Amino acid sequence: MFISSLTNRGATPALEQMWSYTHVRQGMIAENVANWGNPDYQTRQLDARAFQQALGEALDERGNDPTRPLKIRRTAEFRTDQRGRLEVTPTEQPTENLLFHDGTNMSIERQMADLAENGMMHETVTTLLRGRYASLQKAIRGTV
Amino acid sequence: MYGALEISTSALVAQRTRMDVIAGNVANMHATRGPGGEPTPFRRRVALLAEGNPAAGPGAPGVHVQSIVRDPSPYRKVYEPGHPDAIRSGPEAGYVLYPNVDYTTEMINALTAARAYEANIAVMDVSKAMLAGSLQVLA
Repeated sequence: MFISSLTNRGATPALEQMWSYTHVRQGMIAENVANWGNPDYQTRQLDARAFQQALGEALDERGNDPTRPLKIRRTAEFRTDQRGRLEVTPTEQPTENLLFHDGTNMSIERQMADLAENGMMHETVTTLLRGRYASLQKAIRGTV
Repeated sequence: MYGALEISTSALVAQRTRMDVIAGNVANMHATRGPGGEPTPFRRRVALLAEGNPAAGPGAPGVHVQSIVRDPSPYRKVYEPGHPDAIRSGPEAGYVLYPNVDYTTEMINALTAARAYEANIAVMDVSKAMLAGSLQVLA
């Protein structure tokens, strides 16, 4: 109970959800790029802005009570299971104004930008998580 | 994360196979005879890529070469009456049938295959960096 209240406190659960999100999104971007030029392939997406909004709402709902689990409200793309783990379902990206002659709607430039953004997001989350765990470790050991 | 690497690997394999097919097309673009010496010109091959990665299991994400098919478009005809494989009689006498390979098309396809290969390597680099970062958190 004491340990779980420590790890569930503050931003750690939100960081863990972000970490899971960047992992699954990386797989989805890899799949999009792998299917570049594949006729009729429709780009998949896990909207970063929608996820951040859902996470923000989950944090608001939890409030300051560290014992309450962080639950992301169910949307078409995101939800948390009973154990608080993130589950995602990528959706097809709506076609903007360009459909290629082979029936695809993938922009490689957009995918590369998403790839860079996802990598940076993951690095930020990893750095922050590492800091939080390091602080916890110092507290456990009683050393600075 | 292993999933992302697996997906990108499937794409590297598929693009390399596509490049092999293009190399075969360009290498044979003047082959007027078959492997056994029969007077049948080489027919252009096309690698058909399909979504999914059956090698990693049913329903696994990625891409794979579903099949390599022959392009049924007509052969190129070049007027070369002295060529040993020239058509001997009829209205097309003197013409030689060359493979239906267009050098420009093959070069453009080779460029797109190379760019797709590079794009997947870029994804793999990021996936590897993410994996290394995650291991630092766990360690």
